Amino acid sequence: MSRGSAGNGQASNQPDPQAELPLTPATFHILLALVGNERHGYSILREVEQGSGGALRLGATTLYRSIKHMLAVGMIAESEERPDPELDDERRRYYRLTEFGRRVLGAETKRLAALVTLAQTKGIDISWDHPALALGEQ
Amino acid sequence: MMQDQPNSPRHQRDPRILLVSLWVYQRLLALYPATFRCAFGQEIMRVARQTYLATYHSGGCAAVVRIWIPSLAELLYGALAEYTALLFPHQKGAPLMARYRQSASAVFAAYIAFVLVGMGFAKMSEDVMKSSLPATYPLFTIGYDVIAVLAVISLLAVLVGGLPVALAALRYAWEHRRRDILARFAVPPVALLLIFAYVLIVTTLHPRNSIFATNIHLVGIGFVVLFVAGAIASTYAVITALANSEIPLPMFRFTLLAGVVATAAMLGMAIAALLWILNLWSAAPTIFWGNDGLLASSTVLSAVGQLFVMAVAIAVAMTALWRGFGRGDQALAA
Repeated sequence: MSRGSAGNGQASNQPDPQAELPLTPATFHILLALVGNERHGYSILREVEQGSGGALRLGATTLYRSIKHMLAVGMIAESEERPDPELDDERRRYYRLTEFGRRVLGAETKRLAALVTLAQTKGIDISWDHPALALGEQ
Repeated sequence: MMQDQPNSPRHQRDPRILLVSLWVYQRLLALYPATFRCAFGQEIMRVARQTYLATYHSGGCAAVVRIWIPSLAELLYGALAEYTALLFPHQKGAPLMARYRQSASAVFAAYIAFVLVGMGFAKMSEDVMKSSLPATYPLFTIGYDVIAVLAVISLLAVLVGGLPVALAALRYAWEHRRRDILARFAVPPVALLLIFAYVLIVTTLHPRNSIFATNIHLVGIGFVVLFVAGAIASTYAVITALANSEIPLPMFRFTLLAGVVATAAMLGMAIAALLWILNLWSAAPTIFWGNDGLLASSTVLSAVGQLFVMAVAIAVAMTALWRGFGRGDQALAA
């Protein structure tokens, strides 16, 4: 685990977030799911599905292959805190977003926003009905 | 690592369709590389069970059967992708950590190869250094001393850069109860013990046993073979132990910086060895063209062979550092 490597705010030691771009949809949504919350695998899966309006349904192996990559590069870290055994299965591993992961997420969001702007300047209509957009309108 | 067993007490309460699904899932998960299964197998089975259970509660058996094909296809594709990443680690999208780790491992392997050849050079040159030649030709002493100083520098660089990584890997193995990693780290001391045992047997029996007395060359070759095999096995074991451990990224960057110092020292030693050999050619041509090489072989062939291996080791280390710091990939991309 990249424990302590990326989560201690040592931004100067981290590689350039641009080197990780573009993110796969799975990686992008997993990072989004971890913003503000430490989550275990199944919770991430549910959050990704809800966050994408059901458009993205990850399988367990895809989820953990993505987690493996994100741990290796320091975008996320395994949380050292464990939930109360009475409230949750203590064997579950929880993951949290690192400072580097947050920077990568910001860089990818900026890249996607630039793409949207580019598409709009070329007259592409983005007002069509998409589950994820509909979710945002609720 | 233990994985959720479909027939465990908890699973006995699950519907039969779930038991079958998880049984197949677990069998297919066995197709993944062992390192991946060890790290995430238990978690994956837990998430898969929850996914199947939620699907069953929302849509019954039919819903579970409907997700069989996509989830099994995902399993198989993932296994293929994991093995591809293992076989072609430098492909686009390979983790930065993997690149650092492979570069550091390559530098370490190159260093070990250099040390083995360097020991051969030291053995070959010791007779010359004990003779009167260094007194007449000071370049012998200068070259030898430069090699000795640079050998210490390179050893320190490898220790300073490598020990933190090795300790981090040991800590990871201890915390995660990874006996396979601990076993790999046990290879170097075991190899060393075997070499000591060999030397002990030979030195104990040699004076009294005619087999050793009449086959001194075989005894020497046996030692060299055992020593080289032990070094190769130890290097391989340590490299694979690091490959199976999770080590902080900045630590590997530091290791690569130490690798630069070690590689520079190796380059300096190779140049000094070349000058020493050229000096031998000039000052003592009878020795140079004679049979004073390793195990009484040709001096020229021994020297050329040693310089060749040194050059290859340096080239490997420099290429690894080039790629480790990303410039190799940038150059290829350009």
